[in-house]
Amino acid sequence: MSRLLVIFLFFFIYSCSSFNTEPKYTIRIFEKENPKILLMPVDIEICELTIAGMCEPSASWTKNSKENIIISFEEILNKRNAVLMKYDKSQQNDEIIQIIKLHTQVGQEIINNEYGKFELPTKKEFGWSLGKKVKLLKKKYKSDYAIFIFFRDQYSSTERVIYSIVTAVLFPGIIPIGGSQIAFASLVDLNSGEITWFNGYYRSFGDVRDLENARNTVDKLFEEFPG
Amino acid sequence: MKKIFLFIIIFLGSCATPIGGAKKVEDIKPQETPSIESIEAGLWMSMNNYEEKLKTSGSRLKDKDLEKYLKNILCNLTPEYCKDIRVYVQNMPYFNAFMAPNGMMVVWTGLLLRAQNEAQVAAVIGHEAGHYIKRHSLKSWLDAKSRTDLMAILSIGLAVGGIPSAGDIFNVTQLLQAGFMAKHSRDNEREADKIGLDFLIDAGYDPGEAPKVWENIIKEMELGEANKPLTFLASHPAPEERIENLKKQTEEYENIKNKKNMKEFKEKIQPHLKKWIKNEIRLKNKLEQTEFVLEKTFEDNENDYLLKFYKGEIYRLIGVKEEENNYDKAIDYYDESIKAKNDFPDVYRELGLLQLKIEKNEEAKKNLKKYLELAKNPKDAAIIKSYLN
Repeated sequence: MSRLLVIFLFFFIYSCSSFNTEPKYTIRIFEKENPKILLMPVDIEICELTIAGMCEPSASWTKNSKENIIISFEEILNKRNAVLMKYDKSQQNDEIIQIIKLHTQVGQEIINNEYGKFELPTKKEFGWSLGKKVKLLKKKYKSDYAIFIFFRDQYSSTERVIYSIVTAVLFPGIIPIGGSQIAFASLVDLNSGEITWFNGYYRSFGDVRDLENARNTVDKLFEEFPG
Repeated sequence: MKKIFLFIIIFLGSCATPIGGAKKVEDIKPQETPSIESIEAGLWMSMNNYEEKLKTSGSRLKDKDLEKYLKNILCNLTPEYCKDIRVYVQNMPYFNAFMAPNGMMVVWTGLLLRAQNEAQVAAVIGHEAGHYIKRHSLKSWLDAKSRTDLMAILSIGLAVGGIPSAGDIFNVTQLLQAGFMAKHSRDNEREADKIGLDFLIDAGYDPGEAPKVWENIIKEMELGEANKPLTFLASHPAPEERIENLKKQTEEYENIKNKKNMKEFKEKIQPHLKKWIKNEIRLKNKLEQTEFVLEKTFEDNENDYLLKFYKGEIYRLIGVKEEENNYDKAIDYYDESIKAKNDFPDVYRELGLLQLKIEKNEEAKKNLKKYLELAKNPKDAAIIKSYLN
């Protein structure tokens, strides 16, 4: 039975280890007081890992998590006297969808180049942009900035948790991985298209399905957010 | 200790959806949407996100009119589900079409190029609608889930049960898995074929066109390398069997009409033909395969000059390969095209440029001049003129 204990201990320590984010930015404070910040549709998908590790998308978890993230983000802005502008889905058009898609792509590139193994040898300063097209958001929503959030998360089903423990005991050394979370967010200046603040992470714990935990996660994601 | 594990394994096993459990899934009703707590809602969510991206994707064919035409075919086949299914055309030079659980249907341009008339396209669209109605995506998902769960549990179970070699465990479970998967996929295809045929006949199309789609694909496949099956066939049952089934099933119907609508269909794809054929040629399929596709496209003999022109294009693009010079062959085909119709500008352009390349300058200039004359101020007029001096 001692082996089981060791495994439990391992899981325990594993899930408690702290994580570090590394925010990147070009501004520390907002130039104007009470800036208006448009929250773009949160690109989020939450899934449940089956016993064998298939990622089964969950619409209800995704819906709850999305709401929690939005509430938590609104609280962050309130503390900074920034005004949250709501996105209107009925006003969406192809050009706006393209901007959202572009952000997902650029965000992944930032993670690769600024955080990962593919650092560009000559790119020393943090400097990324979504281009001038974002001005159409400024015009439509009378906002100074836009926030883009990308979020993917997985949670193990109960069966998978049990399966993981059994496997770990029977075959020491093999531990089926639990869920992992990948998230990134950008603050985009709607005059220039420049990404003025960015943060992202990849980790194997954390939960956004309930508000309390979502607050912690979103606080961490918006570390060193200007204001 | 062993008993505890066996208990856990049995417990886990009981959680997993049993194989075949997916069969209880009922048909989706018109305008039905899944409840948010369901697994199906999760699949819809994922596909809705994908669809939103596809809408503005560079790979989507920018021809709303053609998409509308295909949607009308669908609505004509099944008015009930007309509102539930959206049809998109994607620029991909392969024979394929697929249906997502949320009602997103995607048709590839390679399929439209190969279809000879509206009835054949309708056969494919009806088949895909069948997948939607029968909820095949959901069934496949549930099935894959229970299969992989079972495999995971079995690997522990077999280990506890005393089979030590990991390799053996892998083999047994893999074999089980492969068998279930193939059977399931074939059953779904058969079911969708039947629904597609019902729709086709009800809408007054010639049901004989449905097996023809497959007959042509088989012929094309046989001309290529045997180990390179078309994408569409990787997950589908043997086409020979489908042809048999479709023909047999057709015998059970009365009041069969024979609408084909070749002209309507050809008109709709006409503006894209040049580009699609170019993409087809660039695929570097075997020469015989590409020629076969072209022969089928121009089977009606009305546009023989185009068939000859594109054949010329195939040989021109192959160029000099393995010490074989294909340029002469290309020129022969261009000449035949001109013989069939002497005022098609494109052929003079390609012929002229090719002659320039192989330094038959006088003839080249003559043909390029003819091109400028016929094309009436084309976009590339300036560069073509520069070759004339």
